[in-house]
Amino acid sequence: MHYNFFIVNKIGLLIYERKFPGCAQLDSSDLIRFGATLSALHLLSAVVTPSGLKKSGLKMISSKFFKLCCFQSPTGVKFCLVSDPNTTDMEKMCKKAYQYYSDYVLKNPFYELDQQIRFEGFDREIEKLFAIKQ
Amino acid sequence: MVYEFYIFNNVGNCLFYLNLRGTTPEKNPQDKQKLIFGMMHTMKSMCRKFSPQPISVSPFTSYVTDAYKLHILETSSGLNFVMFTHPDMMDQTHSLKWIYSTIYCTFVIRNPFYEPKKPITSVVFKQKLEEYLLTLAR
Repeated sequence: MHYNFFIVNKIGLLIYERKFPGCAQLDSSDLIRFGATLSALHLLSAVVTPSGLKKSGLKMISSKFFKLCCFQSPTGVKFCLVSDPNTTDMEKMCKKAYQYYSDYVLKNPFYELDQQIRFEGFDREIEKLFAIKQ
Repeated sequence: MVYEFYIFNNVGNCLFYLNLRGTTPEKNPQDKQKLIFGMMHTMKSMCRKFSPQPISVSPFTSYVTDAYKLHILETSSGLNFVMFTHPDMMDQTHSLKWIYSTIYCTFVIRNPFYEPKKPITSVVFKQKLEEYLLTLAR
């Protein structure tokens, strides 16, 4: 079961947000803060890597009630999926969402880079992707 | 395989630090310890926000990157046990609870010379902890 899906751009702005039934109550300021917090955590987790290991940002946060998967594309766009703790293959779904992002958002001539995503086709694909496997 | 082990108190001072990789120590470990504590604080508040059920205690248990996995146990007195391990390690909440209840309580709390909120200098504690953490490697 999935709770939330977010896309955060490379400067830490939330550009897409989707809620699914059962998610936590978050208001719009919480959501804006989330984008910035996640970028900061991603950076910090790379900084505190034990010496001698290759530095890399966080991929998955586990807690008692949910899991948060964060997939970063080579250009720095982060795809985050919040699901319940028993979900598997979260990274695969984030990669799938990345594929839809490239197909339906980046190839859209009316889309301006790093701006909010408001496209019906993309909404539909995301809904389909996260609804089937619930 | 365990890389590093930290104990922080409730205000973010590092009481104990153990490096099990035998690499050269960092130039200024205090800076890194502050970063780790700050990051955990942010992570905990974010996790509290995201949790579908309203809760008062922190539900955050671990996070993973390509290079390492960080496990954390927060006790009710505000102590934080933090462990850096190989990314493929399973959930280590039980091991951290065991370290707290058996090693920490026996060799630190029951030591009459230990002053609360001061760094832990006990040699026996370090030795017992190291022995235990090495068994987790297998």
